[in-house]
Amino acid sequence: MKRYHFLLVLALAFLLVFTLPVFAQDKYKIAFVPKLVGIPYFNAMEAGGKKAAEDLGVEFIYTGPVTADVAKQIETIDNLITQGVDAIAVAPNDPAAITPVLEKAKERGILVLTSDTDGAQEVRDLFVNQAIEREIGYTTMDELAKAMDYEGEFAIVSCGPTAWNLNTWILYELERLAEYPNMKLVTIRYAEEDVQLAINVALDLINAFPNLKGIIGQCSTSAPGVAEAVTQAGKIGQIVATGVSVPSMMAPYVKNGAVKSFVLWNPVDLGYLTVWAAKYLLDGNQFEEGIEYEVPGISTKPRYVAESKMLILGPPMVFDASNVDNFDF
Amino acid sequence: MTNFQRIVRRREFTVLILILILGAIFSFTTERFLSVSNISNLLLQLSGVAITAIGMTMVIITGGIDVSAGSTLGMACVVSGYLLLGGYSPFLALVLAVLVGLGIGLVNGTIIAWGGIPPIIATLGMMNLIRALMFQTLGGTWISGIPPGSRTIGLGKWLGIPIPMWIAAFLIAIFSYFLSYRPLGRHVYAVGNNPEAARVSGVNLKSTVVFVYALTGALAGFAGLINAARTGIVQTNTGMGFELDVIAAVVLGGTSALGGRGTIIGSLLGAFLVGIIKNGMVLLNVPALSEGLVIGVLIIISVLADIIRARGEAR
Repeated sequence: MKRYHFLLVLALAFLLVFTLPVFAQDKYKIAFVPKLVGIPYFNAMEAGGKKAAEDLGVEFIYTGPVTADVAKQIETIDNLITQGVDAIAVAPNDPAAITPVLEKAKERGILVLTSDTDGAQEVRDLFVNQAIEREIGYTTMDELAKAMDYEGEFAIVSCGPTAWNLNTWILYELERLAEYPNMKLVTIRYAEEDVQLAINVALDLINAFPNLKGIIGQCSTSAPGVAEAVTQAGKIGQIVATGVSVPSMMAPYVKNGAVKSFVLWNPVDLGYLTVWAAKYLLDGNQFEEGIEYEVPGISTKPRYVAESKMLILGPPMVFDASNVDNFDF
Repeated sequence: MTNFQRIVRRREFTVLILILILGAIFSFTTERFLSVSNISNLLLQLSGVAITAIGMTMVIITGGIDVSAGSTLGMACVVSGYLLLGGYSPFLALVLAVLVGLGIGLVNGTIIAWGGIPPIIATLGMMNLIRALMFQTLGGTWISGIPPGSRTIGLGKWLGIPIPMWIAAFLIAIFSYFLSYRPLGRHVYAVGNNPEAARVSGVNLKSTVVFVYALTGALAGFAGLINAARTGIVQTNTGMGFELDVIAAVVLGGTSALGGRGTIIGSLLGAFLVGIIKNGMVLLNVPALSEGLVIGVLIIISVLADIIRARGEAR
């Protein structure tokens, strides 16, 4: 009998410890896990998320791996599940590898979103998409074509070879390439999310292909990297760099002429929208197709695609000498 | 064994032959390999590895390893990046970058020699600690826009050869002489071959160990300044994985992973071999993802060759 009492007390104590935090919190805890922390692009998303958290009265947690590492990212998500957050938004480094841990989160009743990069389509509740992949790919190719005068050889320096968003953009760039019969893709190389590596790879490319006229830097670290390589090789005017990156990193190269224009969206708005959408769903709302959502605090009107459970921030933005200085991310 | 046979049997010779064969293949199959700009690129890209490999060779000869070299390079990049950006003299940036590296190396050496902590554990801890410090210092932003005038040490050329490679050649010559002919240099081998015998014959084991780690740190710091000047951009993960390139160069170049044997020239050749393979694969337009495959296989083969040879000699 004594033993039974002891067990009862123990069980009660456990119950208390585990339920207390539930009672204590009245704010939603919304976490965002970027591909890696410490790069300006995701810093900008963090800033947007923070602002949304202040505006909406939720708690925002920003945490992730220090390199674009699949395993570390999974570990981070696992920790967040243990912490008992209400929603997890993630920009997966590998869309397939991330699925099991997101399934686990969902089983625990956590709202699961992807943002910036999609993954685990059958598990996640929503994908907050910066812009339709096709539009990003097409716009990048159009900007390159214009800068290259619609002819000549070009190369692509991408980043993580498994990044779903980058690979999809490349796919659409190649689809769009059909419009420009005088342009030829000579190679695709990978430089991880590492500026120095991108510089080295691009310098090698410039040597390997003497007729090269253009290079696309596919992600926010490789675009300034290829622009720096064009500058160092003394090829400004002969080879033009473009790609998808942040204005703060690209501005010097727009000014020295290595870059004429490049493509992005507003990552601060994307971060804001991610937190806003998580709160919207946690409150029990549902998104509907055909509505332009009014989100106070961002400059675009997002819309929803029911078929792929995707919320789209808006059309991609083109940056050039006329507007590159207007942004602080 | 004649002198000639002795040279032929050395690993350095094998690596040199491999480099020449690959060089010949690449220059026949691609017209760009032997171009001035390509060769100078190749030299520029491997100079940082070559400089740090001087210290790493000694560390591995003593039977240790230093995996914090990449973080050390990164931290030196941050320090020198800020100084160059702020318009301070490149010389001051150089001195501070080397001092930062030296400090980290001294701490590594001290905890390994006096604390008795295994080198891989001690330097692994240091690697994470320094990386965290870098994050704190940079706060998630990058250093960029270093004025071209301050970047001569990374971008300049003398007699057509990049300045970093001159620096590497100079340091390699000095330290090769040091390692072969100066007492402290010989002690490095003694510590790796037979620590007990070395101790009995009056070698100061602890200070020798501290010396090799301090030197590696200082050289990684030097390489950090060159890296910051060359690329003009410092990001939070600058130098991540750099230590592995250095260790690969050292091991490929014939330094025994078990300690006691190896040369700095060998490590330079190892760095060349890796550099030439990476470069050639771009020139030949081999699919990018097979790069790691080729280099990985090469490392395993070279260590296997070591072990097989060691067995042969033991018989």
